[in-house]
Amino acid sequence: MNPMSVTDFFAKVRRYDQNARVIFDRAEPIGQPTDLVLPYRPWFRRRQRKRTPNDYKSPAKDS
Amino acid sequence: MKGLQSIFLGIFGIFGFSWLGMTVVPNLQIGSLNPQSDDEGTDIYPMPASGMALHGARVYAANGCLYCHTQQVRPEYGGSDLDRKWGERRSAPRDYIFEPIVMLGNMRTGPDLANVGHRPALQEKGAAAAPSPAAGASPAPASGATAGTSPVAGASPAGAVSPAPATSPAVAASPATAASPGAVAGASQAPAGNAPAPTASASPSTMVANVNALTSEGEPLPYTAAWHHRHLYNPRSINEDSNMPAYRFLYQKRRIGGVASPDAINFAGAPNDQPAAGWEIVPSYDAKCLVAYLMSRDQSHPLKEAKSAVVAAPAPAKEGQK
Amino acid sequence: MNPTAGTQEPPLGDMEVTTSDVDRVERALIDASTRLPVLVFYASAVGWLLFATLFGFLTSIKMHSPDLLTNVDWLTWGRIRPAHLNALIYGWGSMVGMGTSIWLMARLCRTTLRHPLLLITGAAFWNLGVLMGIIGVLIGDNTGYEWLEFPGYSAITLFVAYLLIMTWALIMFRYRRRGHVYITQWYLLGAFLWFPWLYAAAQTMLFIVPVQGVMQAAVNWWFANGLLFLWFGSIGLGTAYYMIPKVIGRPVHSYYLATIGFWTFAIFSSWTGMMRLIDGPFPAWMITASIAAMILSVIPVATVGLNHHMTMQGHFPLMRYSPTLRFTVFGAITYTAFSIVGVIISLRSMAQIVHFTEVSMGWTYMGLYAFFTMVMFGSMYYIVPRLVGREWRYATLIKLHFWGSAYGIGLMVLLLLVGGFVQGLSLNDPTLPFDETTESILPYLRGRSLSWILLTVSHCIFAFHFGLMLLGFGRTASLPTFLNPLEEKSEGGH
Repeated sequence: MNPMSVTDFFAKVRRYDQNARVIFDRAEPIGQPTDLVLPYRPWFRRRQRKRTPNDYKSPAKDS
Repeated sequence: MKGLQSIFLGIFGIFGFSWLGMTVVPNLQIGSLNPQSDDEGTDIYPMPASGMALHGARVYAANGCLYCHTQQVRPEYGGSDLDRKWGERRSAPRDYIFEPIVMLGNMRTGPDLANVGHRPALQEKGAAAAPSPAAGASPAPASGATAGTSPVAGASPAGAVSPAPATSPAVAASPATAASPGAVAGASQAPAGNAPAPTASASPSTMVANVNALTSEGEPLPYTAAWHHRHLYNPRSINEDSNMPAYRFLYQKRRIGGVASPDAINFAGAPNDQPAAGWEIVPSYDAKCLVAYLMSRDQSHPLKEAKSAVVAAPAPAKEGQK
Repeated sequence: MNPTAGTQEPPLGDMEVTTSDVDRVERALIDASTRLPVLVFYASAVGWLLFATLFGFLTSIKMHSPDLLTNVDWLTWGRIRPAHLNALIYGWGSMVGMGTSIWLMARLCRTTLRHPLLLITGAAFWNLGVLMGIIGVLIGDNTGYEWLEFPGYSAITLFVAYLLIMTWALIMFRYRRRGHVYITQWYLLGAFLWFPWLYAAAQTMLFIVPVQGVMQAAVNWWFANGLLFLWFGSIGLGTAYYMIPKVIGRPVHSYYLATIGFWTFAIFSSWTGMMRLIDGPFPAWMITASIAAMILSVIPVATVGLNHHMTMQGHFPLMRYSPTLRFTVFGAITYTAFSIVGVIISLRSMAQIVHFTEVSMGWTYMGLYAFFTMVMFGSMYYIVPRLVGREWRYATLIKLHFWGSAYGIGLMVLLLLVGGFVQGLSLNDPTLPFDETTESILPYLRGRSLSWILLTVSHCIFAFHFGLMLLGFGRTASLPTFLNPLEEKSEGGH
């Protein structure tokens, strides 16, 4: 096999992982949940403070 | 972008591979089979469907019969089909080469129908072959049929006259049309098939012969034309536990003219379904065609490639049958 | 920890150079451009879902109460059953799949939607085709081939509609923003290229230049399994690969694994058709090939499952807050179960028992509903607010929808798999008269009607809620809406 293939392979894997980040950007970055979450709130009460998922997120690694 | 090109190619190529492998190549192998014939060129099997049976296939499809009934007999290692006497041998590709629509089916809410047109002949033959699908509550009418003696019949202890197995709309051509064999038009219309002897392949004339058969109570013998009509009209008049739909819309109720129509459904033994005096229920053209189609369901003719229960696929090239 | 893990560092593409505001506005513009076509597809799909549900319910009841409405020819069981299934497949499944795919493609190509008229015309023709097909089936024009019952006049309409939609997709792809291609795009590309091939090949080989004899059945099931895996499966998998990372805010655990999963999925899934014809009148090699393919497809299933699991590691609690995540993860887990069940029932010893029983229906519904439909529901919960600029109004309705569907399909699948097995045991015992087989399955069929009650309620709730959104009765979010970037706070805003 081509002696360069190992380096190529790692480059490939790194590029793949960059592909994985493609769906994120500065506005919706990694580490930020994006769904309009279901807050715990009673019906029709709009103005109460919503608990966001960030309050509940376990201290996990970023990626 | 180069990467994208390879994705495109991959997507096409992989799929093309499966299309070739699953459809094109098998088509080369089993897609242009000829019927089998013996050395004299007679006894050709199978024969193309024609006439009423052809239209009957469309009625069968239109009303979704294929969603509850299969038309394929599995080999002995595949299931209990042969033990249930749903066929004398497994089905082979050659059986279906002239089917207008091949409806092998995928569900057995009701019994398999690959040989349902052959069952009257089996009953007629008597003890040689255990008649009718052992599966069903066996018919056990007193006359002729030795259903009562078939080992499986023992399973229906009522023994008595519960005719008909569940839900098999093995409908025989109605008696009147049977009288003119030409009109029966079942599958093997070909002259060669008219050998009167009750061979394993029930020829149309044999089927015609017993199509009028009745039990001692005057009810139609199971799987005859009259029986099929009654069954289609109301499956539960024949078998209370059946969950098959009733195809009343295929039948018409009308006043009896001078003479009762020979096509009229025989409701002997089913007083609830009997129309009021002076009325009769006759099958529509669609119903008669459907019954003709069902009577044409017959794979009993021996095939060289499917003699025994364990034979594998046919190899047409070797056979020299092409 | 690796400093690049936070990934504000630009990769090879030009993406991350923009500011977050520009990103947001851009994304909002893209979403706005997709609004009409996607909503047209979604609204049509939901309509067909209601129809399919009604007919599915009726079909189920008639199996254990066959004398219900028995005199009406167009309501006979053998006609409403294909009407139901085809409405589910071509009406609901295909249209919601296309709607979601359109939005995903616009997002991933990072370009606003061009030529919406192509899509809207396509949707109109597709609806027409489905309508004609359903009517055709009910009046008796059923072709006799499962999953292909729509008569010719309907099929050609569907095909023309599809060509319009595919043209649009190819144009979008041609004009996409240069940059990395995401795994979802692979799946969607695959689905959109495989479908026309499947459909055209099936129509040609069954109707236009019909193949002989049992080859018809081989083509039929090659098509049906192809549709299940390579159209619905592919769209479902692609959608999950976008939604799960996007919702929790973490990239896919191993993109490399995802690509391996895609290729193995494509290779093996396309060969599985003959598992519906085990021990049928075919050369043995065909059937063996399909069984082998089913078994080998455990590989892509495992990669997908592993990937999603690792991506979500530590973030499972988010399912309590995100309807999208809830539905999507349900679907993703079911995908694994669906594949395992598929392998089991393809093994000859098992097939001997369960072939020709309700197990086959249960398995199909696992794929079509428990996996695909649930993922699609999840995607709609994500996408619709971004199109109408409002949040879903009633959290309770969402929860009812989820639990109704989850329990409904869970019950149905369980009943059909278990009941089918019992049915098969009976069928396989030649000493038992056929009556016994019918008797054995009946209680399960009655239970299935119960599950249809759950599904009907759930779908009605969803349709109602969706209707509210269409009419503009969604909740104005005090969280930033995605079409109005100026109101947002930068911290914890999403």
